[in-house]
Amino acid sequence: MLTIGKVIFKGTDIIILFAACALTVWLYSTFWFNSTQQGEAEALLVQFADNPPTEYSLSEERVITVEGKIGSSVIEIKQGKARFIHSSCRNQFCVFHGWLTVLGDTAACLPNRISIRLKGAFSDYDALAGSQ
Amino acid sequence: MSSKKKLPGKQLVSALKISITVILSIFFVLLITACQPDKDNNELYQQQLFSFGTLIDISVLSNEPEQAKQAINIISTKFDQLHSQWHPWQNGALGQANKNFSNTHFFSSTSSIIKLIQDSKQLSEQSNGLFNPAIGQLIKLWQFDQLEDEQYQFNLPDAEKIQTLIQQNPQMQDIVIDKSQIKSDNSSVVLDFGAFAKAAAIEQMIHILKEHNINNALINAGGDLKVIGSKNGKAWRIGIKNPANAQNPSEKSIIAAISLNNNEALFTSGNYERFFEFEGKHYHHIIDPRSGYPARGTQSVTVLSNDAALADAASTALFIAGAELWPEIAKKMRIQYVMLMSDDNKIYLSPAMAERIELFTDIKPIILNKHSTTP
Repeated sequence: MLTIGKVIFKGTDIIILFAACALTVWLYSTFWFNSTQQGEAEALLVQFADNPPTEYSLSEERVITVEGKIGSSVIEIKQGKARFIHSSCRNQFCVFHGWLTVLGDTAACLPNRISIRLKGAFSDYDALAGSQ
Repeated sequence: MSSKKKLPGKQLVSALKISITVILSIFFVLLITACQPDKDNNELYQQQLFSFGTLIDISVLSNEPEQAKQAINIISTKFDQLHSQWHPWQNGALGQANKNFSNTHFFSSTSSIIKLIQDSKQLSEQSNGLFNPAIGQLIKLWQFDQLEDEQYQFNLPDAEKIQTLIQQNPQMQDIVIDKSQIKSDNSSVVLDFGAFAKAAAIEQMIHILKEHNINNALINAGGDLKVIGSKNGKAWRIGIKNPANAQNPSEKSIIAAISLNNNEALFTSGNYERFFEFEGKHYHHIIDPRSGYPARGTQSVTVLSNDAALADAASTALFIAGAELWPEIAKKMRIQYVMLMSDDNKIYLSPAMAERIELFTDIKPIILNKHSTTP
């Protein structure tokens, strides 16, 4: 039993109060402090040359075909990840890049001038080094 | 008895009030302490462009939208101009110089080409020739100059041709500079500055941004980057990609993180960045000028420096130097911050880098002893 002023907290009150305090601290540490965890990607930005990017939700699985400088690039969104599955270039580096999984990660088909990038509200990094 | 029955209700309301007050107090205290002093609170303006054979991201913080957009437009155009001027095989200033080197007579060149040559001559010497932009013909033989070509298809170079070029031994020291005139004493010299040109371009862009009163920005050219200022009072935080993830997607994507302060550049050379698989073998783009073949033994090298061009030259040289030789070359090039990952999954850190980098791996890093040239 805990007494603050005239108020008496009994077993259940104390548990609720303790749980609420713990929840507050946990929310704080998760969303403000835990910088080593990677933020979650929410959308895919697909961009041709320096045109404004088109945004696609990562929650909806789909295959997107985008026309670029030399032909089409085909991009797959699946289970919150994205990748090139085909492009009109010969070397297919963009396809070899594989899945983009980290917020801020980018892959590009340079000959076709098409880039894809994962976007999210809370990125832990301002940029990725050695990303291409 | 009736008053006793009413008490739990009153008590519950009071308890809830106190609970909510306590929780809100904790929340706001934590919220306030989490916030950095936000003096600037500038807007972030971003632009993406394809130049220098890579994807370039420009991020500028400013509270003046027109100023930010104007600066971004200027440096976007400038990147393209420098790319064509410094392309080894096109008709720009470097392409012209490369044609003239074969006749070994003096000819005039532009001040920007002469500056690139001067800087890279010094860096090549400091790196014991491991950073060697004079091997443009070798790079062409490996077809790494054609990555943007839509018709490009990789073929393994002829071993005899590689051997011939190695015997001709093109070096930066073969180039003689006399004011605005240059010549090469070795007709096999062809300059391909590769990522060094990209780094030199980034330095020029940072200078232009500062001229436009932009003091907080990040330029990221295909994973090689330089920052100025901060991101609204916080250091720029950079994730370093795990080279092992390129081969095995189950590996962690990010192996380390580092915070960059004003005027710092972070450059990485990796065997996973540009490569070909040919008949089951992996051929990457970092050619060892001693053998003429892709350097072996290293997965990636990350270098931090205030000078982007130095960071690039050093990351290339240290990649080729490998796990045994890198401390000696880093010392000669006066590089303090190095992380090298070898093919056998060992991580080597310079002492200064060990103090700043945050590793997200179970691999225990090998930290170089201070004043030592062996890991």
